[in-house]
Amino acid sequence: MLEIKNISKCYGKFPALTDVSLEISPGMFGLLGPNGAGKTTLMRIITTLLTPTAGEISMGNINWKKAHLVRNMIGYLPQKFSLYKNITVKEVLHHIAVLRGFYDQREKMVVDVLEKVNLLEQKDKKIKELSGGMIRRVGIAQAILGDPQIIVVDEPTAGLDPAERIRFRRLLHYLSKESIVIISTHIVEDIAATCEQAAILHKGKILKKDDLKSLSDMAKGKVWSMTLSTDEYFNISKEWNVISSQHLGDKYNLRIISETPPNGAVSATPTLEDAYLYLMGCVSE
Amino acid sequence: MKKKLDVFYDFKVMGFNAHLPFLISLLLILYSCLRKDALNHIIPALELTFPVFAAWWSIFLYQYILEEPGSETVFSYPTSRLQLGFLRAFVFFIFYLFLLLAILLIIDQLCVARIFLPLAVQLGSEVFFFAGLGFWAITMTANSGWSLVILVIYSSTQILTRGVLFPIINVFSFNTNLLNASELWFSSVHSFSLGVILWIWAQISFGRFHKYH
Ligand SMILES: Nc1ncnc2c1ncn2[C@@H]1O[C@H](COP(=O)(O)OP(=O)(O)O)[C@@H](O)[C@H]1O
Ligand SMILES: [Mg+2]
Repeated sequence: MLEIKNISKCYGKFPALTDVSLEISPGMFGLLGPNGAGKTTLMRIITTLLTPTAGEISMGNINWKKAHLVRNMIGYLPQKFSLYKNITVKEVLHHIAVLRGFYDQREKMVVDVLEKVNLLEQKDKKIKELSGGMIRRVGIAQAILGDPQIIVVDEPTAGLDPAERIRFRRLLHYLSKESIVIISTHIVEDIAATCEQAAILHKGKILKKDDLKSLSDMAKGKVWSMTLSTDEYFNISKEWNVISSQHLGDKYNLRIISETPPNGAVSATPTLEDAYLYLMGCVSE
Repeated sequence: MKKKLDVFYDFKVMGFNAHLPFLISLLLILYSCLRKDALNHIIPALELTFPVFAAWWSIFLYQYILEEPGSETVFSYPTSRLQLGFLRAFVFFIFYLFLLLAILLIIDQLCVARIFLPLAVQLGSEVFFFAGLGFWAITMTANSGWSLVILVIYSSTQILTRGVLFPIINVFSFNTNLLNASELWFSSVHSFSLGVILWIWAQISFGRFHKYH
């Protein structure tokens, strides 16, 4: 169990994180929040790249103050991952295995991780010759070298095409069988598809943390659906908070967030996306 | 200690920039061949070019770590900042020193005078200074372009004013003949001390680096 207790982080006077506490158990944990919420800052604190202004992190009897111990059990894929463009995949991973202290086992280890991320065929290609999705997979490969107990990935699906995104989620989910996987994202779907637990971060504060079902239930009784013609849709979208619309023949099926039901709307089962938008709506008012 | 240095890899990552010091060395040997008997030309040519390029490896060793977006993952590995920083720069400084000794040995064979020892001491301490200057510049700016600008500004102002501008930080001797023992002692201790300050300062700033992209 990874315990994050009352973490705060200021850049100068700017509070990027305020009193963040989380308990993360094995499996996949999602950190959801808009841009600027402080996700990357929290990820960097968990990976020991930044030290918090206040608060503590520990797992078992290891305290994050002993950063050198923590680094043996952490794998990190940063938001903008790209490394050593002119070097081949295999060489990069060999080098990283050396930096991680696995000089003697590096040959076997690298083949193992390349197999896991399905990049064996690309092992002799240079990084610059790979697609965005493949580079992300190299990123995962370097993060899981040596089987760390905690894998931290920051906005891993940004910039991937839909097919790559789905494959990537599947890969992360697979890894969470044996490790804690912490994923940050502003894309609700990433979390809805993979995580058991999630927290919603906004302006450096945790708004809510729970399992996905309970998070979705926050919007219970606030989500409505109705089917309208094109003209009616234009009218209603001025008055109500329409969060999604789907074209069905000559009509539109709308999803609306509201405390009171619009005329003719029926109550809908809330999804994580609904709950997230509802919550963001509440805090922006 | 587990093996964490990967010298061949570092060479490879630097690409062309890794080779430049060898190119400079070749040119200097060629020049010395052509001007065998003009020691008063060979010494300045050596002093004003070779040590400056000691900064080259120091700068480009860190280009990927400090400048490229997304390289922050390197700092999450269980490799200490001393190994990642000072140690790598120092190993490449030692290589550069060997390169210097090799060149001097060759030129020593060509020339009439016995230049090896005095120039090894004079240029060796200047090499130490410039390797430190490169390491310092890249850790301060986290940008290889700006580091080169610092290097060029330092060298050109010192060379053009012949060390009159800020003599306290000048390491060039501008000698056309071999220095005598006391001059040599003074100039090398001076370059070496300045170098020590830069090396320490650079490692401290590398250790504190956290402006990840
Ligand atoms: N090094 C820094 N110096 C000053 N402010 C920063 C720094 N890094 C991030 N911030 C600010 O902290 C806030 C949170 O940033 P970040 O953690 O990157 O958020 P996210 O990853 O959720 O988009 C933002 O307002 C950002 O501008
Ligand atoms: Mg971010």
